[in-house]
Amino acid sequence: MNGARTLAGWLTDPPEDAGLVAGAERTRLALRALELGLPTARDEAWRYSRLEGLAEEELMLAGEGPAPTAPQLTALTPEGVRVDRVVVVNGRLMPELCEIGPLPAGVGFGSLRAMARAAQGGLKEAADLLERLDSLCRPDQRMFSALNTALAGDATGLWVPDGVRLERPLLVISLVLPGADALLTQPRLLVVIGRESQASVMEAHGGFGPTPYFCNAVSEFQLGAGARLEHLRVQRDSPAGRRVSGAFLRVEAGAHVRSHTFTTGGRSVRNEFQLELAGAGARGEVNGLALLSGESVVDNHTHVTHLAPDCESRQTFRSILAERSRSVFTGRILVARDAQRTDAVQSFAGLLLSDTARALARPQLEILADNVKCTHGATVGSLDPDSLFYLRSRGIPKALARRLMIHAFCSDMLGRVRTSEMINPLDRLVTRTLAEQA
Amino acid sequence: MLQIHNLHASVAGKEILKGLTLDVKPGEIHAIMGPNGSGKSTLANVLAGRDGYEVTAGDVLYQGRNLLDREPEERAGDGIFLAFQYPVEIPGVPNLYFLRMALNAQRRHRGKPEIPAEDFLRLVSEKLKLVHLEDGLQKRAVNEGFSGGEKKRNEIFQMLILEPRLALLDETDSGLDIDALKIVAEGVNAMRSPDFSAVVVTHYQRLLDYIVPDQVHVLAGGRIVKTGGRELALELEKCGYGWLTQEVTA
Amino acid sequence: MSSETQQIRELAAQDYKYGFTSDIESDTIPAGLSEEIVALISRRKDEPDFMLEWRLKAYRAWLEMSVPDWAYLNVPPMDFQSISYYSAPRKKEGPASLDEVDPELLETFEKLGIPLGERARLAGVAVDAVFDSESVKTTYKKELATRGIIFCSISEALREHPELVRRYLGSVVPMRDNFYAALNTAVFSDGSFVYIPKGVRCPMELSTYFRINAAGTGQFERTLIIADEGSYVSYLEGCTAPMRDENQLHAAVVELVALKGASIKYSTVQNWYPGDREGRGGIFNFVTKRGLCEEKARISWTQVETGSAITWKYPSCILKGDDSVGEFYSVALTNNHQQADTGAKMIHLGRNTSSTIISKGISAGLSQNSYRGLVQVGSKATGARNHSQCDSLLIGDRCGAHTWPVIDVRNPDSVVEHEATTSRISDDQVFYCRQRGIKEEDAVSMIVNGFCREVLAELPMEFAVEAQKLLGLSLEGSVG
Repeated sequence: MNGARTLAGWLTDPPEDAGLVAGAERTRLALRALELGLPTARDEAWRYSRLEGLAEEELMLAGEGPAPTAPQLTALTPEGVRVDRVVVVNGRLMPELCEIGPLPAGVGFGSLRAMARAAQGGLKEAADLLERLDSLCRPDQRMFSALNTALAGDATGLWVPDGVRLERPLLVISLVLPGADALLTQPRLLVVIGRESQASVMEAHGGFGPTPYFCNAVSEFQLGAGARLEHLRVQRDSPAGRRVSGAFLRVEAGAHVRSHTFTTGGRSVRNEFQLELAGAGARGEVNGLALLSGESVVDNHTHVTHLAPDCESRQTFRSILAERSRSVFTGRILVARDAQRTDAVQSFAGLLLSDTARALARPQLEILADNVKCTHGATVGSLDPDSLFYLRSRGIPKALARRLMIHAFCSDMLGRVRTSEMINPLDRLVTRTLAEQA
Repeated sequence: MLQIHNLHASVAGKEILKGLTLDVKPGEIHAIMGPNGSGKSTLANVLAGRDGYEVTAGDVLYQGRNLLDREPEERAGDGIFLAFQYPVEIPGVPNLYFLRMALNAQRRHRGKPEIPAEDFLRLVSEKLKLVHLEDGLQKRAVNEGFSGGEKKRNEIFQMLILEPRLALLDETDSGLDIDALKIVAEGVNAMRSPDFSAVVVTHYQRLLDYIVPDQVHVLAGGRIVKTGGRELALELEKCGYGWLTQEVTA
Repeated sequence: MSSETQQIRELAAQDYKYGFTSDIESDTIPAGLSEEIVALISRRKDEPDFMLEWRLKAYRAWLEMSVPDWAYLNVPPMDFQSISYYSAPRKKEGPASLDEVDPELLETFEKLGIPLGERARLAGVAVDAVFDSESVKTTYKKELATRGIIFCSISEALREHPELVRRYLGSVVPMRDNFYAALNTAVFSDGSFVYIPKGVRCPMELSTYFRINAAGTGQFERTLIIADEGSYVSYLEGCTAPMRDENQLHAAVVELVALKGASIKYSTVQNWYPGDREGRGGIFNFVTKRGLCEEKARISWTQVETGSAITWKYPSCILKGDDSVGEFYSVALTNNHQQADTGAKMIHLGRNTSSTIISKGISAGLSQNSYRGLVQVGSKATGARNHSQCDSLLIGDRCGAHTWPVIDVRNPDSVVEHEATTSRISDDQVFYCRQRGIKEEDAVSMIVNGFCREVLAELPMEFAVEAQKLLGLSLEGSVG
């Protein structure tokens, strides 16, 4: 591989082995990404993500990465939980690190490239799964989706056929390990849950080292009628890392999805959520907890669309902001004309722990049906001095009292997780992060 | 007063009332009992003219004229009052304001002048005592923040102010403790006169200890399957509805 | 749908009550905008030189600006050269006494329910009546003057109190603030001016009625209210216009200055012609309203917006002084093809500043109704508090309700809360009312008034009654 290039450089002339789709389509998407271009400072929706200068930066396109160290892997593995796991380093699957136990018949979990070969070999499920790639992430309108499909080295795929209940949570560990040069990496996940099936999937993203990187993650989830999915995502980026991660969820009739994202750092992390409630009686929950310090920025964007009647959506976001960190929440609920009896709730709460932290909330409702119940709420404040005093008057030292209260502020988010074996590891993650930041 | 003949009615395409016949004479109180889902509330809603209840056959005469082609507010103006099973809340609209607006609308309907404010207030304080409701409640928004019992008593209070000719009580006793039940009964009994009739829909006979009905009907499967006097209610209390519904399906 | 709702739907909407035109000879300058026109307006008004310079500066700034397009509005392109920027009822030398005012003009205001005659003056309300571009009459002036209160047209203020005007005009809304404010600064013709001296509590409501009459004109009024230290004033504003098939532009600027400990209550009942049921005609209402609060001052905006084809309006409070208070109470009702994008901005700069936003949006027919707001807490605004409540009510299934608040907090010792709900009038509520004998339309109107109660309670009594009636009228034809 040759040296570092700009994003445009990579898109103009992508290397032979990059891309999830075949030649002509890849070229088309690369051109589309070029055409759409990176968001500029004038782009209102991107004003708060720190992507300035990205267009000029020379980046290495991620390929084979170094093997992760044991502490790096441990940092992203939920302790004491039996999982089936895939490990991705710099966008490439590391077969020697994957641990996948026996799965129910028809379930496919692993490298999408490997699945493409299986599809060519006549495996119908693999072909079906591949067909769904790009069907939700709008590569023709969203630059980062086009970029991902055009340049991602590989992807993780999960196919759960109809009527299958996966007992163990699935884990996708995705590490960014830049070398001497700044790195461009695009992890990709595609999940299809069949009718009446059930699964729990965790994405654990981490970036290590002092070298800057830009990680452009895209995850697509399709739930068939009556399916259940819990999606957990942990993002632990280094202070030099910038990330744009998109989660695209489509939920058919009677299906339920819960998606939880925990963000603990990074120079700039933009989380985009697109939730489409496409069938009657679908339910979707999107939650995000950010624990930030230093100069970190989290920019959460949700776009929840109620397309069918009798659907329910819940969005709960919390940010705890120390030092000079900042949090942006832009939440949008769109209720289509036919989506009668919609029940949608959106809430953001920001906790400012320093004079220099900043929280911005833009909860938005756009409603075109009349028989709806939509509410949103946003609060920003600091720790309640009365409660703090109460704890201290009972002999609890100030620092501990603060941590207790901050933890209480988070615990509501942990309480929303249903994959019970994951709650303790997530709780430990929160506790550890708060201790580190204190 | 009220003559119902072979009434068939459906909700969302499903037939609930299947040939109900009932004759309520002036001054009479009729109790309608029956198991859940037998069509008791449907009957009350059809008589009050609620949307979504489709009459597919039969007819209803009220004071000798066809009731079914009348608008809900016309029926109210003509003297039909429905005490709702679940009274709704109307935020921001004070109870008294609402009641005065209703009373004046009904008076206009009957060709009477609007009630002077002081007469209205006198009427209110007089009737409030009967239902043991606090003054303060009437300044709050309609049913907002009322307890379950307060809502039901408020329905009876409205009935006392509006003075209907025919009252339909839709499970007004449900969820009431014995004291509240007595208050509701006192309210209805205070209305009793040769010109006032009532149809009391209830699941339990205990209300009928306090409002003594002239007739008791058992509604099952959308029809009246048995009619009797007070003693029928006691019998139902003892034996349940099982033996009656079996008769129907047999 | 039941037959009765069908009937109600077919009931013709009551015609816009204030849609008549008055046959008054007016003096309208040619359409179009140029430096010459700006100079002509300034000359007609006999303004001091600084005003002409200021206007020309604004005009040049405006030329560089573009029409804002961020609102949730579908605004047809406007030809700013086809509008006449000045129209005034033809008169002799300024109406020193009422006898000199054109009787037709008096009659117009009588019809609007605003008697200007000495005998029939509104009790306890001082009125400034603005007809097209000119103020025609201000009542109770002498009585107010005894307390040192100045209440007059802004043209008169420019002649009589140029220093006061010069000091504050444009101090809250700078000429470059936005496209419409720049336009207004260049061409504004008249409006009201109020000055309340230190420690004076204005003994009566001050009010301005705005009336657009002439065809092909726009209205660009400018209002400036200065409440000196420790004073209080309540000011009301009402607006109507004739029914015309063309759209007319109204671009006003209102500036409030509340000095230390002063309090200004500003109420609006906006009933500009909304256009007909097919969406033809109606006023395009682009308004910039902003108030500045010094220490311990309070500004309260209350608005009932039922008119205009398009409303674009975001009354704001700059809470500069410590312990200052900003309030915004709003009812915005849209029906038929109306579009409203309105809300409040609260900028917390001082310590312990607090603000409240209560917004009630009602959409019916094919209308689109948006709340857009900003609550900003600056890094020095320790102890700032805001509570916002934005509720939307939908009537019918072809309208839209949208909420776009922005909350930007840069101080940890502050609390900002925003709540919003969207719902519709439930069938159960309407049936409950009808069972008690109340007609469906009256029931809807009652429920809507209940929904707006918190806001209507903030209006001065005379206005509250008018506003309630207006809500009922504006809703007609929407039920079903």
